[in-house]
Amino acid sequence: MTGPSPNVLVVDDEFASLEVLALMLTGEGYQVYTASDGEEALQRLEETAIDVVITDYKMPKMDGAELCQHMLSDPRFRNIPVIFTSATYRQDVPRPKNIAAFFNKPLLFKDVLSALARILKGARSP
Amino acid sequence: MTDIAQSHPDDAWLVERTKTGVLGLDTLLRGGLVRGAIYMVMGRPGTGKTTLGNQLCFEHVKRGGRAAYMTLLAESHAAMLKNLHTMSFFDSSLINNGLSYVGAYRALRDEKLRGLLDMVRRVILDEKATLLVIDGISPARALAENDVALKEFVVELQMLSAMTNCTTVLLANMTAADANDPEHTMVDGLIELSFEQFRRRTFRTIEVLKFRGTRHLLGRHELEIGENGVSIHPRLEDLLDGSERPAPASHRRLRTGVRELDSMLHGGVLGGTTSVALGFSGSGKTTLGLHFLHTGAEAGEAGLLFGFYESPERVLQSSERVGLKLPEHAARGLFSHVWQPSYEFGLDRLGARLLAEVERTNAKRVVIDSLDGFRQAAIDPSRTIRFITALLNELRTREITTFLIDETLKPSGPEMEMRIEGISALVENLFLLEYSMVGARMLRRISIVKQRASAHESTAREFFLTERGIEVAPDAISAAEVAAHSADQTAARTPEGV
Repeated sequence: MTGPSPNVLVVDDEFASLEVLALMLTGEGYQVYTASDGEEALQRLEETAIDVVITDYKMPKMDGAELCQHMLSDPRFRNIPVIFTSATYRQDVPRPKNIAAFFNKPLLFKDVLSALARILKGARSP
Repeated sequence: MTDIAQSHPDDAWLVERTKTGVLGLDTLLRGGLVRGAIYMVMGRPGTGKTTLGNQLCFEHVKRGGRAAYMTLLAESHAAMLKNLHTMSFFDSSLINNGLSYVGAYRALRDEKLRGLLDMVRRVILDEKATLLVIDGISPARALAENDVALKEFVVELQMLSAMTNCTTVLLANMTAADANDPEHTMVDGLIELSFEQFRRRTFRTIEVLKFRGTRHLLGRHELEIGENGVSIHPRLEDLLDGSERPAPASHRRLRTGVRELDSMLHGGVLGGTTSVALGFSGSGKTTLGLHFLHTGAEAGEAGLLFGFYESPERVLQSSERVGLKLPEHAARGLFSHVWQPSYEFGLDRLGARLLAEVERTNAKRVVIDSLDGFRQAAIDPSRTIRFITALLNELRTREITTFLIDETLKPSGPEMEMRIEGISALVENLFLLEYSMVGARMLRRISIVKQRASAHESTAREFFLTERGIEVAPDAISAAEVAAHSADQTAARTPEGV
């Protein structure tokens, strides 16, 4: 990875998913922030300029779909691409407009990594 | 918004298996390890964990995967490889060429479980490993702050394995008695290697205690460590489970090779059936079995003698002495002899050996000399009848006509009985070979106790062991005389009034 480390926010209520994805993305040179539900994710967005959000769908307090709706309704966050993940069969998962990629769980790290690279490349293109 | 809509294909929900290449293990697991899952192989020292762990790695690389073998506090890599290099799976050209050996204890000691997890991450990604074996998980346990921390570590390791699609195998020096530890509850599969003792003989066994997401063969199975590394011999009755498969019916008569006996059988035994020749030591059972194989070979039908007592050389010599041309048929591939002492093998190794040889030689006639070999090989004697049932069913399903030899403890009389209870119900044909002394003369007689679904002669006949093998008298007269004479002798010995 060249240039400054992109800021990635990982949102997941499942401890191991959150910790391991954060560990692996950090290992690849990303600056990783974490949150355990949608509400906590909105706080991180307020605090830090996030480049990409990776969020789980099913979470307590505020789920991933609601988080996306909140982001879409806020001009500061509506253009932040979101990678959506879910252990639910993908046809049953809502698709908010800001979703750039969707992955069923268990995630394959190489897929996440390649999606991140493509999304960030697209975001940086004129 | 960029919509790259990238996703797993829907079949990502299906379980993808990785064949281990370890003989018998994939059968036990009904297909192999689940890709990206985490397993624990546990057992006391000497049960075969390290051999199995290394073998998994070598076989994985040979099948196109990439593997890493990570040690914590274990023997040095050099010492370990030195011990393995004589085994057939070992291939030094794969080391650092698809298979890496990594020491991770320092990362664990200096940075605790977080350091070890990061080391695992780096090894999997740097080596592009699709199989990781971590040998000696005990230090991680010892250096964990508490049970919760250890549980967290195992869950994270499980997640890491899943996300990288790298199957992880933990080797642990412990037994099922410790299986309530946190790491046991978190792994996807739990396999125990252990020792089992029977009559001063020690056997290695393997048991899959837990295997998420798929069925596996339950119970303990025999594990052998030899020049091919670890081989597993799943219990035959579980493995074949062939009771649902109907054995093909045959109306074809197979000659036994003893002319008058075939006449007593109204032409011979039916194809695909099982016969037992029951008799005391020296009564001619083995010779009868050799006739059966010889006459099949004469007709171009391959036969197998699966024996526990006489060596192949002695069998060939004996057969020549009675005019049976088994050496010639052996040279033409129509007679083969597998011989082994029963005490060196467990039942399932014997069963696997027999079926493999049947397959290799395309044998259509099999003689087992004798059932007592199986009885002696059984670690759990109560299993013997179930094992034999499964084996005979399998042979029937393969349209093989089988001839079993079973030795009695008495030479004649109503006390003659089989040494394994339940055998008579399993077989279609039962021949009784008896002998008794009439004055100074030894008289032998043969009778057909049963021939299922076929008429047969119901009287006994005298038979002789000659330079042409077994020769049965043309009628029942002489045997009747023997019986009458025996009855007279019994009456003479019985005190009056008893």
